[in-house]
Amino acid sequence: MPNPNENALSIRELSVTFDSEDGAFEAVRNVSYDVPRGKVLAVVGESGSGKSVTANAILGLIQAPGRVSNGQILFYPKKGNPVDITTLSEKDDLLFKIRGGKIGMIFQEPMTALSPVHSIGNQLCEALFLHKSVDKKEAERVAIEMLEKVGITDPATRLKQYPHEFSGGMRQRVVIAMALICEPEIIIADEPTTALDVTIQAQILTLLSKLQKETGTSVIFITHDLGVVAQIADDVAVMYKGRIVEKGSVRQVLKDPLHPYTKALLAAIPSQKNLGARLPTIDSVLGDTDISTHTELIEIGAGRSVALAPEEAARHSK
Amino acid sequence: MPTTKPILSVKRLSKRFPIYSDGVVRRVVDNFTAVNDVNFDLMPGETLGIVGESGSGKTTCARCVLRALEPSEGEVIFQSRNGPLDLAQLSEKQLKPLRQEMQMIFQDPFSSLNPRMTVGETVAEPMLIHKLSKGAALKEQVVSILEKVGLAAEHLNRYPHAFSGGQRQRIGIARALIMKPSLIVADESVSALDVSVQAQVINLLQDLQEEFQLTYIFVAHDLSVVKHICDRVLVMRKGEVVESKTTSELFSNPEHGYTRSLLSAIPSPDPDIPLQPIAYKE
Ligand SMILES: Nc1ncnc2c1ncn2[C@@H]1O[C@H](COP(=O)(O)OP(=O)(O)OP(=O)(O)O)[C@@H](O)[C@H]1O
Ligand SMILES: Nc1ncnc2c1ncn2[C@@H]1O[C@H](COP(=O)(O)OP(=O)(O)OP(=O)(O)O)[C@@H](O)[C@H]1O
Ligand SMILES: [Mg+2]
Ligand SMILES: [Mg+2]
Repeated sequence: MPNPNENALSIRELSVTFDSEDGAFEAVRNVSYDVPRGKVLAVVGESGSGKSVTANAILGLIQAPGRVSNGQILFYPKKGNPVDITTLSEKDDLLFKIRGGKIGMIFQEPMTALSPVHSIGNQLCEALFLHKSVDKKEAERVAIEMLEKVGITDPATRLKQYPHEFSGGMRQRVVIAMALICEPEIIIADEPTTALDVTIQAQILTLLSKLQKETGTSVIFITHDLGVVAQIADDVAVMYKGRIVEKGSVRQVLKDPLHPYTKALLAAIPSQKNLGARLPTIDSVLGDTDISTHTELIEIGAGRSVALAPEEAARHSK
Repeated sequence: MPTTKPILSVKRLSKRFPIYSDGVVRRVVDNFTAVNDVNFDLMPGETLGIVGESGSGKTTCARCVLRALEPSEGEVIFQSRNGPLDLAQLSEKQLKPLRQEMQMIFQDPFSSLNPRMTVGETVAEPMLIHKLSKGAALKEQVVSILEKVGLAAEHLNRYPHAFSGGQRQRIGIARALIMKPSLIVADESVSALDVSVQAQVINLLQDLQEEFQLTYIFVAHDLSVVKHICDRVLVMRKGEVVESKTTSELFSNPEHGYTRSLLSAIPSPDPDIPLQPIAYKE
């Protein structure tokens, strides 16, 4: 498995299927993307388009009735051999080392990642005990330091509290601290700042950029906030109905969107332009344009791809 | 409309939480004031935004208003269909019939949905509890509201874990809207939606507001959304309201240092406009 572009992670033709009585549903369809080492890839797109399912697949977290029905997820650790995560079984020691150790995940819904019956301190230290050899005193010191970094005031007192005693945004910051505490090589951040006010959001974005510059951490940043994308991302992948419909550098995608869905997204941001008016939705922007056939992702330049209708795609590939 | 009475009048609202000692037996050693002396009036058909620092007491304040929490002090005068009532003084039993007039959309969609109930059951439940509808008519209402928030009839029999974050959030919205309440408190309720679905939900909220004169309290971090839908905004910090203004005034003339710092931290979707947040010092 060669790694010519110095990627930290490479997803190749990934499909994830959920089986049910009504038949199989492909939540992720033939998705490929690269995460270059030390870079931030933002994944944006429709609600329900498969962003979180793809992230879960990277950690080997797809459970029945779901399954990885096609493709590879290649992880290139800084030291050691590349691994295809899709081939690891639940019992594999390597999967355990990757999950929460080499790849840290900030889950979309903080309450699902926190235990209601353990104190915040215990949960942060537990993460350290699992992946690093530290004693209790050292673990507590690191936990306090980490809480401070994510902007929790009076961290030593807060350590003793339980999740229900925290506000939504404070819980989200605990989950961020938990993902960062083991110094992972890749951070998957699924909507990490949606519950945060913009000043703390700015602080978290600065923290992530700093980590990424200092330690060469790579980040997959899933978000709905295109303002956040503009600030933090190097590259952007846009998902729609299980597929990637557009990829490129942050400047290319946000300043010169090509796919009709990306254009609709940018138009729907509430702004000075549509103040007091009805907001444009995807349906109102698209009008009669049918984009259900715009599914073939074609590379139209270095690192720049867009999904086109088959006839257009055929023209391009000539 | 000078004669219209406020639908909600909140006076000197405060909420304190106990702080416990260390050790196996947790004794109360002190109190933490999460909300301190909050006052506001809300007119029928108005939308009030509550913004502010994470942990500043927005959710606590919202929960006290709807009596999902018991306030430590203060009055919450609500114009119910049967006249004004101080919600802060009512027993759970007295509150029950009022619950259909006021609904909350919770911040954390996952923990507020029952994992053992299908989506159809979840959305229908409040209607059944308040005996507002049943049978085929109810099913039709459930499907209709699900479609309005961008979900479909085919989702009826699925359980919450089989949905994406934004889909779960929309289940919570549908559950509140189906009751046609007169007051809705929405806590970060469009935050997990992509901007296009968000636009659809915001348009829906505004249509319903126009049609039924609904009143909203909108707790949100996304200031562009607040700017779009709110008539007035409260800015909270450390349990207190530090600024309260009409939306256009707040954005054009922020006075409090914290408000200014907040407005300066909104990231622009243009990658060529760098984020330069102003730090707030007390
Ligand atoms: N356990 C499951 N069983 C069946 N379908 C599922 C399951 N989990 C997710 N799905 C479906 O897979 C699709 C993709 O979900 P995913 O959570 O990846 O969306 P997302 O892009 O993260 O959306 P959001 O922005 O709303 O979080 C959705 O249509 C969802 O309903
Ligand atoms: N049940 C509780 N017990 C103890 N403290 C609590 C409890 N609920 C909330 N708090 C505290 O009250 C304060 C305000 O919390 P609240 O949830 O109202 O904040 P918020 O403004 O909604 O924040 P966010 O934007 O992060 O959701 C926080 O410091 C929190 O730790
Ligand atoms: Mg998601
Ligand atoms: Mg809150």
